[in-house]
Amino acid sequence: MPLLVKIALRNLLERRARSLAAGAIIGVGALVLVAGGAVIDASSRGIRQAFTASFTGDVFIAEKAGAPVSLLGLASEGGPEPAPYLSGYRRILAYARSRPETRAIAAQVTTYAGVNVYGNENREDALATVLFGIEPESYRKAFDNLTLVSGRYLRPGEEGILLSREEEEALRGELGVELRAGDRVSLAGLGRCAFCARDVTVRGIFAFRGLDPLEAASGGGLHIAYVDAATARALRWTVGPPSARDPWSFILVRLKNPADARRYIAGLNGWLATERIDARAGDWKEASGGFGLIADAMRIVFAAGILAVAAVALIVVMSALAMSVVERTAEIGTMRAIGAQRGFIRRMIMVETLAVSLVSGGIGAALGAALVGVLDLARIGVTGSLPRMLLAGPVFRPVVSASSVAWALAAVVVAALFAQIYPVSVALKVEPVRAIQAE
Amino acid sequence: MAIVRLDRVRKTYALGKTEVAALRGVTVDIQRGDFISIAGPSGSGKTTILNLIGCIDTPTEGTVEIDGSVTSGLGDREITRLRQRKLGFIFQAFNLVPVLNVRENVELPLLLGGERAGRSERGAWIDHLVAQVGLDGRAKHRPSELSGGERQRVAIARALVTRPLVVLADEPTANLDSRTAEGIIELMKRMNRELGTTFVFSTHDARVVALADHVISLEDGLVASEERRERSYAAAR
Ligand SMILES: Nc1ncnc2c1ncn2[C@@H]1O[C@H](COP(=O)(O)OP(=O)(O)OP(=O)(O)O)[C@@H](O)[C@H]1O
Ligand SMILES: [Mg+2]
Repeated sequence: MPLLVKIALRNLLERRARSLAAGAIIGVGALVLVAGGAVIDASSRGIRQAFTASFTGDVFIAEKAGAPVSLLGLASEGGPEPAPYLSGYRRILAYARSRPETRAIAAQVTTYAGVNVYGNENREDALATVLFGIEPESYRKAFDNLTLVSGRYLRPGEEGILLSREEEEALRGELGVELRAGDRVSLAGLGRCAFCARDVTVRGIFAFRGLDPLEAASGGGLHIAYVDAATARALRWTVGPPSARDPWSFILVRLKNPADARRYIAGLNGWLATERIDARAGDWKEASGGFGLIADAMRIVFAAGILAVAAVALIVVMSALAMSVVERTAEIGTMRAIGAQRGFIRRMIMVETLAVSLVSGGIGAALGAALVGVLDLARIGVTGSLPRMLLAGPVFRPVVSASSVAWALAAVVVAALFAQIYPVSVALKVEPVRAIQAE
Repeated sequence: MAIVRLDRVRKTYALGKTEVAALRGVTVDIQRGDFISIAGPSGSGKTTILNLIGCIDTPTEGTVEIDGSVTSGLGDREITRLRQRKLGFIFQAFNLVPVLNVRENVELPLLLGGERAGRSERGAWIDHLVAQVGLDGRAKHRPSELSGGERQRVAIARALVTRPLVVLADEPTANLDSRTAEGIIELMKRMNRELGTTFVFSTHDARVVALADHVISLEDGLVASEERRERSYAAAR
């Protein structure tokens, strides 16, 4: 073993308590990084999956508008408004179909309505509902997100509505009427389309198979219902481009490999620009109206926490090492006097710091991975829609990814490299004459 | 031939606003094979002169020449190399590396000089030195397991391992009882005779001074007297 490694390691052993304390801090840091990373990973994976599989697809294409557009419409001052129709719908559709990465394509037209039991004149009883106007066949291929509690799915070409179980229960609770497949409900337009009205047949009552992000976001104040596109269009104030007989607001693309989304979106936007189509492609986060930003927010909060912990750990480790350097002033001075170059002293302290950091960081990361494994095996049940979404499903199943371990270790190494700057500079300032003076 | 030469060396320390003149113009020649005691009362400049010869301090005025080269122009790297190659150090407080055992402590200066470990003739040389200082049975012991006298003997072996021109020892016996102290000086003297290594040591102890071949007496930062004695074992006894 090289001499300086020998000296460094023995010094660490000699100052066992301090080395252990410094190591424990680094180890806990690595553990938190790995375990926290796994939870965050699971969570953002869960949120992404919940959205892309249920509503947004991997790629979301909408007409450009003056305000941010999401699946729920156009953010405007007086509340959301229906998003404009796509002017280049057919060409975009053809483009998406031609791309080999595309797995499924659905089109959607969104609007809002008050849903009321047929024949009830009291508008107060209507439940505010976001209507997703779809073409049943292609939509179901793209989003297999509904479980029918009763009735059946929409059929191509027919008018009809699928109500969520929650909405049906809410109507039943208010009006005491049980809705079944075949019953009719009346839809009243909202906002600028307040005088639009339409009656439709309930074809089925559904429950979201995965999660209901809208319920999670709005606390149950808003419902989602599926209608045929013609019904949705009839409840919109805006008209489509003259060229299109059956206009759509959105095209949603699901990819064979969701990891391709970023590249796909960039390519599509380039194509839209060269074709002078006034539309824009975005990812699921845009489609979800920023709600998906929760995942990012969590990451940022987590990263900020990590930074704070890392800063504290860094200072503690740094001062612990600086302290043992100061204690060894005479020893370092002696080494310098009998012929140690500054570089030797620097390497000696570096080896010490790195040894503590890497060993304890490694142990911490391993413990973190073990902890995640235990959490995974524990199959912790999660209740509540928002927690379920944040923890990626009804059972919490965090998984340690190689990349999060690599990140944790890289963070530890970077921290160690920072932590040693100060002790090394203290050590390098020790003059040979301190061999005598320090005693 | 002088292997160390101090020429009109002055050293002043700044002490707050005042200045302390530790050496006030000292000219000394040290010959190869000398066995020199620097004597003098406390504060006379003994430590200062040894630090200047050992290149761990620099003169305010005048020059220090080691083996023909003037040290004042050298950078930290060259000075360190010079110390490693040509000088050996024995300290009052022994200053062994606590985490290294006896043999490793003796080997340390060679490794600091960039020599690779494990060459057999070098191993034999280290073993020889450890045996010479009477510690062959304790080669694997840590300094904390040794007495003061034993630690100083390790230090002597460490100082000699690079076959330096000069070994410098500032009060090497001050932390030892007088019998052990004499034993240490005698060991140094024996090594001086056997290896021809020059030794320069400082001491307060008149009995230790008596063992030297050559005594430089300092007083108030100046050389007060210089005395050379007959070089013989009889005189040393
Ligand atoms: N670092 C320093 N700063 C200020 N003054 C110093 C310093 N080192 C030594 N001196 C002064 O220089 C003078 C010579 O000191 P030096 O240590 O060389 O004496 P010494 O002969 O070794 O004394 P002692 O026998 O007590 O060890 C003393 O007056 C001392 O106070
Ligand atoms: Mg002194």
